[in-house]
Amino acid sequence: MEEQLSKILKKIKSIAPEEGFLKRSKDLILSARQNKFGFDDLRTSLLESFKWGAALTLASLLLFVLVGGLTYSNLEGVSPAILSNLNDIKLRNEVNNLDFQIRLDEISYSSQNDKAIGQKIDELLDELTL
Amino acid sequence: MSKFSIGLLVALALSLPATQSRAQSGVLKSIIEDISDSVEKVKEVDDLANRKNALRKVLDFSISRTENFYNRLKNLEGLEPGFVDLRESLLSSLEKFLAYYENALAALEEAREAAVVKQIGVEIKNWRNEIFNPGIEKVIDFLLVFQGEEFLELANNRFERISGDLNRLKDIKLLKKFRLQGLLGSSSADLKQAKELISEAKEILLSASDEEPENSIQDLVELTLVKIKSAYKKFLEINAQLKELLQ
Repeated sequence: MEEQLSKILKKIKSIAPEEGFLKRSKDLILSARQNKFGFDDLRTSLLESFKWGAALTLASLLLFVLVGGLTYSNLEGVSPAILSNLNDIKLRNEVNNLDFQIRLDEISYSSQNDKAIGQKIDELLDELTL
Repeated sequence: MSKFSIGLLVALALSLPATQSRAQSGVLKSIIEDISDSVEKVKEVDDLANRKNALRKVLDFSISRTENFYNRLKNLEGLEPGFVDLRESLLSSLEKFLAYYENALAALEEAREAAVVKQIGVEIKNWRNEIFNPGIEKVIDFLLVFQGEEFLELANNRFERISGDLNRLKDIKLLKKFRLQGLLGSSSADLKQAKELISEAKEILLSASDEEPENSIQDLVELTLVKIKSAYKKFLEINAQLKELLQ
């Protein structure tokens, strides 16, 4: 049994491709275009990545501007101190204005009111002493 | 209405913020109406109780008003030396006025006849005409001038802030040099005139002269307030134009 098996294995070992097939296959493999991956390829790949990155950044900026970033950058980019002062003018004027005007009117009102009340007391005393 | 309730109502009315002047005048009006009703009752039934009740209310209200003047005067801050002395003199007058009213009130409580109550009323009326009213007029003028000056200081501070902001904007070339300068200059002129008017009013306050001044303190302060309002309108205009320029 073992001898038979040994003979079979020797026969298999001696199996070789046909001479013509061997030559055709070799020619086919050697004539095929070979893909080399050198420095140029690496550079090209990186540039492609940067292109995508830049495109994404520009798209984000465009979106930022479109949704109102331009207005923000106009003022905020100048000086936060200036902006805070302008806001101060805006807000304080708006808030104080109404109160300020009323208080201004109140001065005259208060003075006239004081005099009017004094006159009324005099009138009441006049009526009481007739 | 009792003395306590009149005092409480007057104190409440006069302690209300300036912006609630309608509520304040409403409370004062109701007190005066209550006194008027009591005076009407005297006309209907002229007896001791009605006379005492009506005159007591007049005195209580007068005391509350005088105390109010005293507190307003006392609470003024930052007065210059000459005006501190004048204020002390006015406070002293008010203390005398209060003492007079308290004595009149005591005399009223002791009165046992309607005719006596009437006579107390006559004396109070004459005293008010001769002493109280001229004295209280000086107090009102004093308060008016320093309230006006307080607002002038507020307006001047506002001007300085706005002027500083405009200069900063010019420094960083965000605003052209002479833009808004006209409005700023005009508001500055308003405030300068307001200062001259209030200074004239202060001189009259300190003046010992008995002669009637060409312009009354009331008129001068009114004009001061008109100038302050005018300056303030320009501040708002500057603010509105700045908003447009920076958008």
